[in-house]
Amino acid sequence: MKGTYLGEFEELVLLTVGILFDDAYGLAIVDELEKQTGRNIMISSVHKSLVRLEEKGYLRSSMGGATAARGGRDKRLYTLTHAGKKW
Amino acid sequence: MSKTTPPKWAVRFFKWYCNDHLAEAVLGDMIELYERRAFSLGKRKADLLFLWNVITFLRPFAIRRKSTIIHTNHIAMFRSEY
Repeated sequence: MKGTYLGEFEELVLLTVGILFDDAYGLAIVDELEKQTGRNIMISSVHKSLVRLEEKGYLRSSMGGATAARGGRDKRLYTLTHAGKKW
Repeated sequence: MSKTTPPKWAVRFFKWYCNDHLAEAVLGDMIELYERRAFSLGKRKADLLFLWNVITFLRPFAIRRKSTIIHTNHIAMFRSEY
């Protein structure tokens, strides 16, 4: 598990994953962050934070939920680990 | 009504540079976002924004790493020497 320090944006992403519960994937997190902050959020920034949070052990991911709107591609769904919930 | 799709060359470019762990999920997100934008902003603007998204993913965390390829022939050759 990498270092445990979280940047401000990573904290927001972590909280948003918690809020979205079992529907936390890239675009849903972007939508919720834009709704909460009133700012335009870049999808690449969210994905970068998700990757880093997973490396640090605060999130785990699994594939699922392919839809026609996504060209039949699976979503990478994120959930909080025990460490993520404690944080 | 035909479904609008993002520029194929941009999709191919993204699949080429992005690592396998992220490619499918991120591309799915970008396509979902593209379809929303095509509906509200029109195809041209959606294409430009899709291209912008592809460019913004050109970051170290998303780029495919060179994998080390072990040529089994070399190993077999080495073993045959000893």
